[in-house]
Amino acid sequence: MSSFATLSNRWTQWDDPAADAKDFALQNSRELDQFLAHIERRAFRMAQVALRNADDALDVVQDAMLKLARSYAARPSEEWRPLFFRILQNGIRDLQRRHTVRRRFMAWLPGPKEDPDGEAQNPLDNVADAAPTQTDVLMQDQAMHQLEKSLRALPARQREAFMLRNFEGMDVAETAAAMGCTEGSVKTHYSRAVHALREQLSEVW
Amino acid sequence: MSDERERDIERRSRVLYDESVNNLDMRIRSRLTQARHAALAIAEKPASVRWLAWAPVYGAAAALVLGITLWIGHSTPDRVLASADSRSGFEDLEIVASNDQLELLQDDIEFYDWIDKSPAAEPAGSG
Repeated sequence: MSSFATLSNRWTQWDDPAADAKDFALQNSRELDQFLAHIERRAFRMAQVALRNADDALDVVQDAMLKLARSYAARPSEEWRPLFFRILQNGIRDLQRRHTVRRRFMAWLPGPKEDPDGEAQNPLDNVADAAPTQTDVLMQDQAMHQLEKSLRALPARQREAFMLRNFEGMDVAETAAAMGCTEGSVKTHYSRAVHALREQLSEVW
Repeated sequence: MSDERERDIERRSRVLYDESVNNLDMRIRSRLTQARHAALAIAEKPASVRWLAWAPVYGAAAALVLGITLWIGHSTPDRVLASADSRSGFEDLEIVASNDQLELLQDDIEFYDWIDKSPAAEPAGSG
């Protein structure tokens, strides 16, 4: 009788695909939450270094999160990291392209021109906050400032390879998947990036 | 020596970068958390619900197609008149070809002859 009850119970469990799907969705959602929570700040800093603007970086990260959740949440969680960074890098490149087009268009219009270095695109960026935050203090640190400046001076693909490999700890295969190129290209970009950084930072570090 | 220097740059830059990530201000952290929750809300929606979100768009597209179809149909009166003419032509042909009508005419031919000759048939004011 007890064995029948056990069998019956198992049969009931097997025969409820809706409950299984719900459990899977819940588990998947939890995993995705953990993944995004782990990665969101690093993704933001990566975007901020490339775009030089906190609000733009936030927009790009939010967009990448939404795209990952909408299109790839059901994929195995091991695939999320390269997928997420690929979406993020595409978003960064799109926004940079739009900024370039806008700058070219604005150059034709009369009026004050933007800073060619892009350091002071918005006059409000130069206004000091009432109380400096921890990040502001850190940004004033000479070493970090020099590092960001040197990273921005790199070609985009070299910067991506360096940040993904060195800062995110991705291996060559993962980096290639995130950048959408071959592993050989990743090695070349990374090597050139390290060499360029050594040249630029040797004097100040 | 250069390899050692490059390793040092990799290590130092990694440490600096990690510190900057850990020291992000509360405003940024809060915005990132909101963005994450918005993304999770999308992921938790079943695919059918996500399809339903597009329902107004599909409905509007269908209404547009229907509207254009009806508008094109109404905007060609020549074709409509032509079809009406052809329909009435068929009706005329049926009347002309109908044997009943001819027989009726033959039966009442004397009546039509009488009514033609009667004074009441003359137009008023002519006499």
